[in-house]
Amino acid sequence: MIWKKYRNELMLLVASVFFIIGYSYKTVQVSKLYSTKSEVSKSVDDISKIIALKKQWDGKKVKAKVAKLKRVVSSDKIKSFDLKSRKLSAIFKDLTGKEMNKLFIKIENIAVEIIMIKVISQDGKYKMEVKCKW
Amino acid sequence: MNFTETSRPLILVHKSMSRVYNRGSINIMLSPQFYTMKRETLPIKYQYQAKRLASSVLEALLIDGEEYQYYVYKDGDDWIFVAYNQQEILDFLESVGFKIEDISKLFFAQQYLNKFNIPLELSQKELLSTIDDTAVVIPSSLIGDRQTSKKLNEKVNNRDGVSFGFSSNSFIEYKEAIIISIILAIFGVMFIIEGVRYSKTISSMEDEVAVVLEKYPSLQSKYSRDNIAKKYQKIDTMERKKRDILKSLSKLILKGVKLVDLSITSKRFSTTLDAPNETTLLKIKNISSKKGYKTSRKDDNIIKIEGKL
Repeated sequence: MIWKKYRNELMLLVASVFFIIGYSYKTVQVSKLYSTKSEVSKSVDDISKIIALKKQWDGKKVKAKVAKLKRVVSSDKIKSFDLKSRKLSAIFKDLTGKEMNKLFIKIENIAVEIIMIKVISQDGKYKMEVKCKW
Repeated sequence: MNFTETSRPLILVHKSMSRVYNRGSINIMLSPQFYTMKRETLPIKYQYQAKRLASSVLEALLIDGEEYQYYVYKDGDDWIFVAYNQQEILDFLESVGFKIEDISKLFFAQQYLNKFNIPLELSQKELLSTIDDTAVVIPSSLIGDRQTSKKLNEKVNNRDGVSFGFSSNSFIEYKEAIIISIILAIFGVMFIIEGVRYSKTISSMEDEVAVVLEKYPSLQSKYSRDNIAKKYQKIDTMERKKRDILKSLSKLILKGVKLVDLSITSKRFSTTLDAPNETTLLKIKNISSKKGYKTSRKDDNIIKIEGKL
């Protein structure tokens, strides 16, 4: 029988095949580990990024912050202030430069999507129209 | 059950033996006709040390120019040195019908003297017997009416045998093959264990992500994650841009400059400024151009700055 004739070689062959299988399995697992590591890290990065962005642009406290715009100037300078659902439509009138700047800074610092801001100078005073959503 | 005993048939090989036919895996025992032996009492502890001395111990008894293999074992306080010519044995075995690959182990009659306390008949003329603790082939006529045996007791200890048949065709020795195979197998097992460890690490990493995703079910699929990220990323970029533009426009309101109007929407922006003099106006124009904004002069000192988002 031929296998008996080459028993030593056969034994080595079987051990070598086992060695190769073991080595290949390990190599596959290592490469899988690296790819999983990078996938996991990307997923975690993505999730953290999304959570941060969502928190910033979809925050629950935005409405309260927007409502505070009403208190930046005196009520007689507010022509309209329509705060509905997740939208603001407001018109301010007779604003001084300082008041207008103050409003600008406040709006810039609230995480809202500015749909439109219009400022028109009228006899040294300013009329400001603001539309935004979040 | 004795694991050191072999279950293979044991065939005594001697010069007057008749032809054999294929019997599968077997062990063979050589009669003294195929080997040369010498008993020596030497102050040696280990077999490998004795084996080194084998050629010099047996030198005077061997034929010059022939190639011999040596086997050494301890018998009480003595060392038994055995020399045999493998090629000569192989030629003989083939000539009487043995298949070399069927032969597993080789034993020497000298190793099992007790089997020949009662002389074993090899042929009508020859017997295998022990004389002075040595296995010898003697003429049958020498023993007269003494009892003889016709059948060889086949019990041998596997450990005492020399790998022979298939090893003679191999490129590698049996022992070396075993050692290398064991090393390869150990490495194989180590690699598999390492692989399993990595596999567990992968699972635990995936579990960690799953735990995070459980808190945010809407982010479980990569597709929805990408979409949500895209949506908020777009808002973030656009709103930062709007705020940057508002900041840069505010920097255009230099000393004495009055804001006439300003408008910013999702697509474009524009502002009109009233400069106190030509120099300031040119300065505003210069700064705006550097920013890439489009400028147009409306009146003497009035400038309109506009651009797209």
